[in-house]
Amino acid sequence: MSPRQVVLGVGNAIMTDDAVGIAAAGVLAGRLQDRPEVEVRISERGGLDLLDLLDGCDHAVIVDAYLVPGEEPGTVLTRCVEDFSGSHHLYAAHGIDLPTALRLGRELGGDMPSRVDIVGVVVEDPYTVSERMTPAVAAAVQPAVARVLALLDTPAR
Amino acid sequence: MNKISIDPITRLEGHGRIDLFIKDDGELADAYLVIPEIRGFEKFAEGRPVEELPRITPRICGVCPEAHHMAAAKACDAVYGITLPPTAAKIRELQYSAFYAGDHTTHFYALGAPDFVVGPDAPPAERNLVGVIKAVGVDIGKQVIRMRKEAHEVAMLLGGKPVHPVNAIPGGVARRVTPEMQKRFVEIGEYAVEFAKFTLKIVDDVVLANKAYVQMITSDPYTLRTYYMGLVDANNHVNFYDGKVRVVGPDGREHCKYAPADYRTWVAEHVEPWSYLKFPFLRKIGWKGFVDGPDSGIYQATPLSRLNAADGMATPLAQKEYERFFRTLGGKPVHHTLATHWARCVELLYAAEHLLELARDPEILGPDYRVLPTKTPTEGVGIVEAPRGTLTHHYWTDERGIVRKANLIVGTTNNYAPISMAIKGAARGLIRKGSTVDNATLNKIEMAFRSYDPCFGCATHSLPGEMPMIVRVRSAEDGSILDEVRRD
Repeated sequence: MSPRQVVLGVGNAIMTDDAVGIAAAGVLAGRLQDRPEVEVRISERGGLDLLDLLDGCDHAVIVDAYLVPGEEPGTVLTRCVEDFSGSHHLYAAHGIDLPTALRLGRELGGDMPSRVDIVGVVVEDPYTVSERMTPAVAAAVQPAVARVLALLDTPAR
Repeated sequence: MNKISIDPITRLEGHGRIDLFIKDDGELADAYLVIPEIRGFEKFAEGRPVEELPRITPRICGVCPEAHHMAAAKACDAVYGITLPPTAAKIRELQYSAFYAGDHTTHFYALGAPDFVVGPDAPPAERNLVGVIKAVGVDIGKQVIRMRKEAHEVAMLLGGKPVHPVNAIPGGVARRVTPEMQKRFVEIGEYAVEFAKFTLKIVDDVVLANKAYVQMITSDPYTLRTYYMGLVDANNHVNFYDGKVRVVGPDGREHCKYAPADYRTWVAEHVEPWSYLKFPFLRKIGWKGFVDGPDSGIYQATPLSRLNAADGMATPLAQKEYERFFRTLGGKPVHHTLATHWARCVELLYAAEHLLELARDPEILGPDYRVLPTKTPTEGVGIVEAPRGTLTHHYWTDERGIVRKANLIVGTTNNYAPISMAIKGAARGLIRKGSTVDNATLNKIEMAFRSYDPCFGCATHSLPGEMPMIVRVRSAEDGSILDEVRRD
C-alpha cells in the first residue's frame, strides 16, 4: 500500500550544512516508525528523480537546506511549493525544478501529491566536504523535525 | 504571505556566472564562465581506507554518481594491482551501460530537445521537458520516464536500493547476477534499443528536417576546432567503461593514445587567477590561452569528442548512425558543438545495444564476480567516460590501503576552457556595449554551453545540476559592471 504521506529529506550528507535535510529525515525515520501511513525517504539527487520519490502519496513534506541572504544560519523556514523558486538540490538536476517535476508528473498521469510543504534550514556552509554541520545548523535539526511533525498533523490549507 | 525567493543564485554569487568583457568600442573582448568553489575533498579522502572511496566519491555529485563510483572502483583495482575476472567486468559494464541510457535520455529530453523541439526563441517557462512533451505527445513523455526508471532498476537489482551506487568494489562487484535478474536485464535492454531508435527518429524529424536548425548547428558561432578526447577499446571503438584514452587533433589525426596510469604524461592543468577551477590541456601541445586550432592544447571531452576520437562504434546499429552522422556533417572530425546533442543520441543507441549484448551474455552469470585483493596497495588510476567527459580518479595509499592523496579530473573540467570559448563564440555579435540582453539572446548563449551538459557538481568538488543563468557585462578596460541579466 502506498503511504498517504511522505517525508523527503534532500541534501548531501558529506557537504557540511547541506546534510541538514538528510539528518532531519534520519531523526524522523525513528520518530515515525509507528505511523505506517507516513514513509520517510531521502535523496541526494533532485529534479526528475523527485517524480519517483513523490509518486503515490497525498501529502509530501520536503526537508532541505536553504541559503537565504539576510537570514541567520539555523533558521527554519516553511514554504509551500507555490512559493518556491529553486534551491540547491530541488532546482538542480538538470533543468527540472520541483514545480516543473510535479507538473510533469501530473501531465504524464503520475499520482503526484496534491500538497507539498517544504521545510528549509538556512545554512552557512554547503561547500566544504565534511560530515560535520556547523553548530547553528546542527542545532536546527530538532526544530526542523518538530516543524515536519507539526505539518504532518496540520490539515491542508 | 510575502513571497520569498529561495534563490540558488545567491549560493553562486560571485562564482557561478558568465562574465562578458566589452571593449570601449563596443566589441566583445572575452567571455568566461566563473563557477563555485567546493572545498576540501582531497582532505576528506585522506586517512580513509581506499575501498571506501567508491562509496564516498559518488556523493560529491548528485548528477553522475555512477561515473564516480566506477572510476573509483577501477582506481581501487589499480591500487591493489587487480585484473578483473570477465564476469565482474561485464557486470560492471552492464550497470554502466544502463546508467548511460538513463542519463543520456535525461539530458536529451530535458535539456537538449527543448531548444529544438520547443524552439530557441520560446520563453524559458515553456522551453523545458514539459514543453517537449506538449509538442511530441504524452506517450513519448511516458516512455522517457519509463526509460529512466528501467535504467534505475538495473542499478537497483545489482546494488539493492541505496541512495548511491554501491555494487562495484575493489576486485569486482558485490553481488552476482541471478537468472531472474538476467531475464529482466534482457527485457530492459530490448526496450532501451527501441527507445534509442525512436529518439534518433526525433532527431531526424525535428532537428535534421529543419533547415534553419541545421544551419544554426553548422554556423560559425557554434564551431570550435580543438583536440578531442575519448576512451576507446582495442579496435578504437567508443567505450564508456574501459580502454585507453585517445586524443585526436583538429584534423582528426591521432595525437596520443595512453593507458590510464599515464594520464599525467599527456594532460596538465592551467591555473587562472579568476577561477578556482583548473583548465586541463594537452601537455605536449601546451597552454596557449583561450584559442582553438592545432597549436593550442585545449581539448574537448564530450559525446561529440568521443565520436571524433574513435574510429567507430562497437555495436551494429550505433555504427550505422555513426557513419550517417559524419556523412551528414561533412566528415571527421565534426567541430560543431551543437551536434553534440545528436552525438549523444548515437551514444544512447550504443549504450542500449551494449546493455542488451551484455544482458544476453551467459558469462554475467559466472561465479567469479569478485577476486580478493592480496597485493600490497600503492597507487592507482581509474578512468571511465562520464557522460560529460573523461573522468580520472587517482589515489595514493600507504601499505595498509589508507589514502595518502587523491586527485580527480572530472568530466566537465576537461571542457572548462572550451565552454568559455563556446560562450564567447555565441556571444560575439549578439552582445555589444549598450545593447540590451534579452531572453532569446541569453538562451542562444546558454545553448552554447548546454550542449556540454555542464555539471559543475563535481568539477569544483559539488553543486549538482544546471545552473541558473547570470550574465554580467563588464568593461574590458576597468572591469566595471555595465549590465547584469539573470534568469532564475
